[in-house]
Amino acid sequence: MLVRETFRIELLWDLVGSSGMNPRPVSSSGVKQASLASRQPENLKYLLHVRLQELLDLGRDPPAQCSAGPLGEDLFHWQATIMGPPDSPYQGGVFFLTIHFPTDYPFKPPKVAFTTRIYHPNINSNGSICLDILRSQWSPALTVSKVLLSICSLLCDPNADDPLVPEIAKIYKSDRDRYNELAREWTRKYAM
Amino acid sequence: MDETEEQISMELETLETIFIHELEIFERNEKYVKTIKVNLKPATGEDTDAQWVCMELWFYIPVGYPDVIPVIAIKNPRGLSENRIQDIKKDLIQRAKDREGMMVLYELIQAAVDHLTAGNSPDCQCSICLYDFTETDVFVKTGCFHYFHGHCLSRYIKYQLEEMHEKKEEAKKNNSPLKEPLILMCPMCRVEIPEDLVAEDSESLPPPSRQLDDPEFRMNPQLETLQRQMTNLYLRQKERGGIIDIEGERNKFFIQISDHQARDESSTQGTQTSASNLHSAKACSTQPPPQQQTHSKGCARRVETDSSDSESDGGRITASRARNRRGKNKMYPTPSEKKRAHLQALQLMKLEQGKTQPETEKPTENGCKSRTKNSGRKPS
Repeated sequence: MLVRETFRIELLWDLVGSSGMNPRPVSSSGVKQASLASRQPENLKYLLHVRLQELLDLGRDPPAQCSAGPLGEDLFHWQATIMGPPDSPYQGGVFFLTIHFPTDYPFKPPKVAFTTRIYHPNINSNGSICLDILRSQWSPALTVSKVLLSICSLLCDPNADDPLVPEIAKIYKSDRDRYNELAREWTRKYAM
Repeated sequence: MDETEEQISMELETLETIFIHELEIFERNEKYVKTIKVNLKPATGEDTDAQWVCMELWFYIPVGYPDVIPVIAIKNPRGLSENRIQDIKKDLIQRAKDREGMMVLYELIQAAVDHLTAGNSPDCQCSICLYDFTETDVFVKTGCFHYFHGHCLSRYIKYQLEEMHEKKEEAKKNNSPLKEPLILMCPMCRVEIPEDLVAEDSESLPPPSRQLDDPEFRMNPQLETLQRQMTNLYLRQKERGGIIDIEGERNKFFIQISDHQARDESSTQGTQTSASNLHSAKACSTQPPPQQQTHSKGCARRVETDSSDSESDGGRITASRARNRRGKNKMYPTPSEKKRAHLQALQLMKLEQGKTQPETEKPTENGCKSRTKNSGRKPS
């Protein structure tokens, strides 16, 4: 229970504001007002109606080592963090990610990308992530926390057979020590 | 075969005749004499449509049964909340303990069925909208025992059918076979579900009722500390070049020309620049990339740079100026925007080569407003 509550607290902080400086508290009423104007009213009504719950209720299935919350007042734009999983070369690093919700969410997958540089066969230099549940295998039963959990497990177990960065996949397959070393170096340099 | 083993096999035989379709027995393994699985549903007689919950009850029969009670597990529960599962399990274990030394399996199964019959309503949330079901909600059960609000599932089905239709059309247009067969799947378990599972249209079904029992969000000192820590970390990463400069990454493959180079030298210089950019892009996958300036703001500044001070600034012109107006944090440009930016980059390159000053203002209008405001440049 304690873990859940802690997580709930963690995920609700408004991470770094878009300016990078101004943390703002999230008020659910304010959030709704702020982002209503420019979107298609029909889908939006549904989205706000149903998935506002996700924002307040991610604590239901909290993945360890992750957090997420809206960036500023835009409910459709979140920032998340993943702590590098222990027993992986990313250990000790904190990786920032951005999450964009389409207006068709949860029927369409959110767009998730790394903001912090990371050395990984399935994540390219733009931060794009090659993960099937973010594309063809998306299901509306998935949530941000499940997605973050999947990304955590992707960090532990790269999928070198379906790489986004073939060079890294090659090193991962042929010289695991070198891959570990490079990934650790990047983590030390960029994610700490 | 000793006496107890005989007793056990007799009990199992009896169970098998009672639960013909529901029971499955697995043979001895290292730890247990037998493992038994029973699929359980509420006792609703012939009316199988009225069964809203179900579960698998597993018994692991240890050596020494019935003097040692069996290990009980509930698997694949449907429509049962975690609390209810725990309650049922606790009750079953208690009953087993009370009857220690007796053949209890049949009794335990009956008790479990009674639990399901008594609480024959889904006690879970709709996994599309994440709200619990309330008395007034209209909900739907799939063949795989998953529950959704009629409204939510109907929206899902409508959306999926549209998407499938689009995919089919596209495949037809490209004359290529579909990569995988298109089936309408249960959002929970990906088992096929019929299109007409929800008879009515989503509009005619009531949307899920909001549940406002969540506490209002409040900042607290703990949270503020965490927020500060993360802000600092973010800035630190940014300083060290650890934050991906999305504009920069995208422009890596664009031709970039330094103002003064373009002016003083021929276009071959520009091509070389781009070649080195390409090289560095390739290299970056094995080596940490060089620290890059943050682009979103820096670029706006660069674009502002007018020709007179571009030498000192090394004012690079990139296609990103065209994109500036989209807002610095837009990460997903549409293909048409990409194309436009690319064309503009080419146009700019030509203009820079031709040194036609008045015309250079042209892309500015589409590009970045701040430039005309702040540059102070007069067309010569």
